[in-house]
Amino acid sequence: MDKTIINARERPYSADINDAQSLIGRTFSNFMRYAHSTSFSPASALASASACYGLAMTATPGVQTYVTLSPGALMQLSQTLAPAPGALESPYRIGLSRTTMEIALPTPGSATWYLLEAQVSESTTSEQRDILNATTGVFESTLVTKRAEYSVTTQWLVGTVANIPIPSFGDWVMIGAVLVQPSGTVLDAMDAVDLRPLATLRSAPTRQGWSRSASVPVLRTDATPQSLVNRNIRLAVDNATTNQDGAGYGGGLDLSVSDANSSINPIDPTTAAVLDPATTVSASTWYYLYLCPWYDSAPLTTRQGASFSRGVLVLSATPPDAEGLFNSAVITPPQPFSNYSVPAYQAPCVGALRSNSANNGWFPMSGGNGQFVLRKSPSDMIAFLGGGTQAIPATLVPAHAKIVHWAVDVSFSGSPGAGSQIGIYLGETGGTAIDGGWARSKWSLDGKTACDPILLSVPGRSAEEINTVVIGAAGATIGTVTLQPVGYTT
Amino acid sequence: MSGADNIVFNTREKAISQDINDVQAMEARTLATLLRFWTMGRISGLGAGVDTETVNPVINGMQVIPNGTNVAIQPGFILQDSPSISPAPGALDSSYRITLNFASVSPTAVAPSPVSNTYYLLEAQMQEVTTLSESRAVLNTVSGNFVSTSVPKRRERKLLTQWTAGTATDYPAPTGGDWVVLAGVFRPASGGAVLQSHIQDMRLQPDLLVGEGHFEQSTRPLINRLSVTNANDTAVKLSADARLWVGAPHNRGLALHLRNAFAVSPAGMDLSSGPDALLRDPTTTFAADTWYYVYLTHWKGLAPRTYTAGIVSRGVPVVSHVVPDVLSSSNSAVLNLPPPFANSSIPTGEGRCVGLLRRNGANNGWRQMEGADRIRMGGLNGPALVSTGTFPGVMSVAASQLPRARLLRIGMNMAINISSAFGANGFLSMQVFRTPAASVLGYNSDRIPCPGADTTTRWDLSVEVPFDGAGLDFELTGVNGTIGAGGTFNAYLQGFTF
Repeated sequence: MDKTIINARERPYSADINDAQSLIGRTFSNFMRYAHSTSFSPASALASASACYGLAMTATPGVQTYVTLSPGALMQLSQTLAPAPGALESPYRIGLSRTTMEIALPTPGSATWYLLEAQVSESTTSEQRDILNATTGVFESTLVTKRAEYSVTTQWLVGTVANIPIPSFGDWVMIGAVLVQPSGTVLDAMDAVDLRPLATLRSAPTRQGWSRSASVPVLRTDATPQSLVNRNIRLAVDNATTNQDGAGYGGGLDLSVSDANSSINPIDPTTAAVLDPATTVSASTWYYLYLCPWYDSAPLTTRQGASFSRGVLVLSATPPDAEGLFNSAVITPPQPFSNYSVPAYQAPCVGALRSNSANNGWFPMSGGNGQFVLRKSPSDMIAFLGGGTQAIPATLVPAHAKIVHWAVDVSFSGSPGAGSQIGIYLGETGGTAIDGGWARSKWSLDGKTACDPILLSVPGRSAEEINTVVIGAAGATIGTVTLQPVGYTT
Repeated sequence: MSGADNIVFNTREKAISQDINDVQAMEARTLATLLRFWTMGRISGLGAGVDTETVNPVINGMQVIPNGTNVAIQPGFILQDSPSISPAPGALDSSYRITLNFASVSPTAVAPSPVSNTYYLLEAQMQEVTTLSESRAVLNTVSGNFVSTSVPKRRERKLLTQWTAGTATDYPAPTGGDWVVLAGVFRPASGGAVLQSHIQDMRLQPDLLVGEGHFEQSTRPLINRLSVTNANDTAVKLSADARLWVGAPHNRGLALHLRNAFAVSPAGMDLSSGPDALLRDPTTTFAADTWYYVYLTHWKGLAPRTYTAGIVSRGVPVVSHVVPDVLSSSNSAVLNLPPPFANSSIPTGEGRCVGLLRRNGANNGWRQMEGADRIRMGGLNGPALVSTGTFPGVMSVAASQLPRARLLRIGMNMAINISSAFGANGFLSMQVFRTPAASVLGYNSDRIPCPGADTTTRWDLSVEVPFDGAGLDFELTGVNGTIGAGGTFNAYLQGFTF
């Protein structure tokens, strides 16, 4: 640890001991600062991001006219907070709150969202001490500053009935948001949102970008046996990492969705609490689930159904990027987060849902760890009449699928000659047909009047085509060609 | 000054001794408080009274090892929050205590020599010890003279330990309060040398504490390997990682694992006999052709390191008939732990399923299986789900016959009695439903054109369907043709995705 040397028989100055304390304090501060640096580069703002431990905000619904802040530590880099750092001091401030704080809630005229922010503050204590009067040479009792301690101070920012206010930024750090009633209380636990910059939410740099989350998602549509009109899904996601630092320096946030107790609770992603305000759910269409940051925070909220989520869960028509990892365009989260637009390529895609043909439920599917099985349904098959090259509508498969499993069925008529075959090829649009396809299969037509259905697995692409031809002896005419995606891998 | 809390020494001030003591106290308080909050992990703060506790205690080092007829405690530290341990924290002190053990030491009391076999816990806490007193010239305020006086000059935070006795089969419940569990130690009658295999590590190390308690429930365990090498083997080879949410008041997740014992070709664990048989839930009795589930769980909020002939684990492994929740893979009912943890039961949701096993037909071993997250059942066909069912009609498979996995791979073979000629566009249709068959939630539908089919027609088919806790129904129909009575149908479980 840095230190000041006080030599034997030396008459130390007062400043020596002060300097010794400064050096110890600087060592603590810098160690904590770099321990929380998640960036490759000091040029990144995330190399010096604020962080906290503890400081959990709790509101007791309908009873307390205050929130409590649990003990914890707030760490922030600031050249401007008082006191200005001296030559031997670090600008990385550490405020320690050792006891539970009670912070009075505002009393708005109508229900209003408020944002609680915090910063490190210095408090001093003074005492009467004997100080040498340099003129008289006598020690005189004088009131002097004797103790400096660093803790946490807070402020409320006022928003609207619909949205949490935009944070102050600068030297203020987000802690949490509450929807406060005119009575000065919070009505429900879901009206409290945790926004702390918890150090453990910052991912190592290599986790973001091209990394698919290790164990995401567990997704199951919750259709009941008797009908398909249920919008509920069950979803669990672990460590879906944002792509927050556009410069690629690292520092993504680890976002999650979980259950409240021992089982996964269903949520309806079409409710206003989850649905992208710019999205309208239509029949037979794929929609995408994203976990979104909010102003560089990872909100912990129960507002989106029975489950907890770290990050704002959003159902959007916006497809993921070509690699199926992040939103390809701006996404607007639902209220109370809708005053922030999530830029493209920042929110990880954690699932996809297909609305059914009646647009009153989801197409049943199940799976996890990137493997999904879709319900096989004749009503959702597509059919082409006749052979030759047919374009497969891209809307049939989710945009983030890396591999799609197709069930293919072909009928034919006529009297095929000996040695004739039907060939089926799946490939990219504009490919060179037969040998350029992703997958192919041939059936011998000898002695048959119909073909067996087959399963072909091909890379997921937005533009694909199927080519069905009669090979060899003539005499057969291809009838109906039907396809249906029955599964996919992300 | 900015930085850590500090005492200001003013220019020309006549400093008093207490100032330097205060400097030490505030520096120690800053260090202790930072360490305390650093180990809090993610403590979420939603709503009323949810999760505001610190993680307590934290231990690193302090490993308990054999030392003749006693044990030794290796260098390390204990962090614990205690307002009650002496000395009571002053105004400038933190209640978060740091015990540093600089060298291997013996416990305060030697390992017991009981009259009969006994399981013990070795527990520890901080104690402050004055390690140096010296004669110093101290001002006598009456005489005004400095008088040589013996005064305490150095105080250090040392380790205080105690043994608590359980029974011949089980550990005692931890004392709690200020006492921190380091290890469980089995002592045979009359004592003797302490064996490594008699020590069970129970330290709550920082790397065991993970994530945000709420989210640990959603993370499915990862099965790294699951192998019953040969049909009817009694040994199971299994390795898995799991994260476990531990309920209030712990408010944390634990990182647990199960590994084969250290060997290139491990023998695996034999759950039927020997020490591994003790891993069985005491309320579980093995029956033929039945699924059983291997869980990892905690004991009193701790993650004991177990070691038997076949496995080593962090967390308590237990094999039970209790099925896991279909999505979260946690136990759907109370788990009863085997000895020496049998004085504890695990509430619903606090165990993590890390393995699925099926008893063989003779109930003397396990069905063959191989895989990791995706498991393939051994044998030509895998366990029979429907054996020689007859057409027409719906053939059902009860949920209890199916493993609690997410995706099931099912093979079918059929000898179809075609009772009338099929038309040119006639075909057979096999549909797999989520029970009941009358529902519209079909999982799979396959067709086979069958012109010219007759009573000797055979059809083999393999499908993968989701499983959500309900049974499966299989229904074969003919279009433009009729299926007669007497055809047979067999369905087998070929494998599953956990």
